[in-house]
Amino acid sequence: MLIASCVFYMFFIPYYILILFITILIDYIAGIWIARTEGRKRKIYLWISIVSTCLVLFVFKYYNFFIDNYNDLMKLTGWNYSLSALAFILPIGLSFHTFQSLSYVVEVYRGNQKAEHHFGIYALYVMFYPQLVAGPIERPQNILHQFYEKHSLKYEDVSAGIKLMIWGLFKKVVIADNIASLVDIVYDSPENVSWYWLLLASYLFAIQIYCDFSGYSDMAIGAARVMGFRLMENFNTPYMANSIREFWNRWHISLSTWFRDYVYIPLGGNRVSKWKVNRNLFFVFAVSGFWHGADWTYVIWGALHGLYLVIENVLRKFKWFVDYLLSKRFIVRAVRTTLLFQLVVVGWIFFRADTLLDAQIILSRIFSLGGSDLSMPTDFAMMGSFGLAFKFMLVLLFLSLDPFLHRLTRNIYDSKTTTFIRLLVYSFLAAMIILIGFWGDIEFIYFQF
Amino acid sequence: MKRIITTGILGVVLTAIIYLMAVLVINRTYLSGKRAACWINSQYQRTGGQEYRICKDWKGSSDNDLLVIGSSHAYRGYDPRIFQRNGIDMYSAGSGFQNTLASFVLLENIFIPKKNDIVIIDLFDQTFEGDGVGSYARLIQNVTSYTAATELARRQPDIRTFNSLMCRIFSDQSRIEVPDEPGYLYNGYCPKNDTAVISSSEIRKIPSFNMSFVKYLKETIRLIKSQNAHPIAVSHPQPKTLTNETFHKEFLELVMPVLQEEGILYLDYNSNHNLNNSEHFADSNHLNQAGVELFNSKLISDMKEHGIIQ
Repeated sequence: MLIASCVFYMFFIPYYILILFITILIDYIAGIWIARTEGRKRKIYLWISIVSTCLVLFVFKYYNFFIDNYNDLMKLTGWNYSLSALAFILPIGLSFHTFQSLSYVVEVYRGNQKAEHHFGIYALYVMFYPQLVAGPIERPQNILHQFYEKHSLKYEDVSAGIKLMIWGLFKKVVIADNIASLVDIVYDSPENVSWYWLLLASYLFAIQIYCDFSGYSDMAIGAARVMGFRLMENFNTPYMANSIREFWNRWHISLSTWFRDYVYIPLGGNRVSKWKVNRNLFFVFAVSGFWHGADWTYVIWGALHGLYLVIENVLRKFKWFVDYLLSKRFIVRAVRTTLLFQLVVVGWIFFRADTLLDAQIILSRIFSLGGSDLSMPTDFAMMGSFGLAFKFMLVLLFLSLDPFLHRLTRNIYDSKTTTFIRLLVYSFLAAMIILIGFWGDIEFIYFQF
Repeated sequence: MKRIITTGILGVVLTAIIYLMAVLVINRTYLSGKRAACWINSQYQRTGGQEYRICKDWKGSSDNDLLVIGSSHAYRGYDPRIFQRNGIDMYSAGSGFQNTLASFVLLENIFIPKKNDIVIIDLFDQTFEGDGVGSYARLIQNVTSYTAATELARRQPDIRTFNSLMCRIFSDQSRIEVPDEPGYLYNGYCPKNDTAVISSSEIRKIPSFNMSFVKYLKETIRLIKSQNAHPIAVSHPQPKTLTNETFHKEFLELVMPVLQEEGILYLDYNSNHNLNNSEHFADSNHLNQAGVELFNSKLISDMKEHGIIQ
């Protein structure tokens, strides 16, 4: 399986595997030394491991960001001391396997995980190909022991895995990729588009990124499950959440719990003063934004979610707000879900916009209802009314089916449905994947991170 | 294991049944005069247009004819009337963005050259990029031969070409959804009379050539030779301000070894012409009638000079 993972990784840029090998080797040795030693030395080994792992991440992902900002600052101040950027291509899945490596050394340091002495098993933990490129970011306690277990093809595993893979692929090629072109047209030149198309494209992007990323996660979890491995859940119908806090318990779960366990709790968690709790929350989310991409748009996206959480925490002091969050009345639930979705969409505008200036144009145009005199983008007109209607219908169909299919793929309805009915549903999804899936050249959005 | 196989087979059968039913529905339902399938995405193409017309009008060739094969350059840049004036029967088997793979399949199955025919392979550098699926989809829907449609899908094994083929099978081929190209004359020729304002600042992107099209260039030449016909390669004129020298130079580096190996004549008019952007071009890719007159006269004269025609 390790060989398969290496081959998979080398499909992208073959020689980058050497960099991965070095970081794996450092963390593998560090893990053993941390477990063997006591006192201050353990901490030193931990920091050696963390710094070396983060250094690779910094060089490939963040160096150019700092250089660009430094150069801009120099330009502003009129000093001519510019530095040149590096011309590296980001190794695929770098942010994901870096975090997975970090969680290993930290867990060994904390004593929650024994150091792995088998180099091949540890390398497989970092490189396990279903989740190497875009997660879920696994914890050693969940996955390492599974590599020692004997796995044979079991009907339950194969069936559960294939169901997840079909649903994931459906979300990716039928929903996300079919609406990607609409979003791209608008976001490529937002200054030429009226507020209602900008708003629509922003809503569509919210659906696109969810289907794209959760689709990948489902396929990764499904592919591992077919082989008998169980990976952690990464999404749980996030747009059905009651609050921002709950949203983050349902969206990219492996990342949000990573930040909770390895950044938020070490900063004091909920045990510090309320002011510090809120400050830490804001900080953690801004850093989480920066993890996504080396650009201010991602930092602001993360910080915005941090701000939402701080406001939510403050409002939780009021009984009416708690009642609102807990209410089971249909109308309140509908208002809650709708409002939450709007807040999340505002965040996605920063996430998707190419530059901060673009995000500013989009937001100002939407909120001022500007550009109404601009005509429909040419590409939209070329799709025709039925072409556009088809894409919107797909989105509506998906939104209404997602909660049901999420549970179905997790075998929750197995006792209420027959095997044939379930087979019929998955056969329908598979037929739609072939027939109406978009089979052009569109990568997963999270591959860039 | 037995249960996995049984359920798997049942799943595949059910998927196939649902797929076929859905294909039937979306190809027999019309919305605003267009099959529902064609509203979904570009792998489903309408019946009609240039691809349909060139196949429909083709009556086969007689000896010593001239056949032009290639992209839209082929059907907009070679006027059968000019060739007729020089005693040559010419037919254009060009279609939108047709690449060498499609040309090969069309020459093998539909536009079969006869002994001593001259076949001009129009080489448009940009058709050597991409996967060509959009062009295949239009051809699969419209070619008169099922074998050719199946060959196109088989030689470019892709879920999209498979879908295109299924749509062709389930659609009503007699119902024409797209009219002929405006101004269509005969023998595949479709002139443009506009004049263009061509931006000199427009720059083509860096090429990313698909090597399988180079392989099919060689196959196409060999196929023509095997019919005892005479292949020659021609690159149609491009507006000079648009001609990215690097792009065409890289293209030449790619195809010249094949053309030299096969020992065929290559007449490259890409930027080797005296045509004027504003007078002789209809848009950034195509000549207008005035340009075609000059280009065809020059081509005929060069062909005579090289002893290709008398």
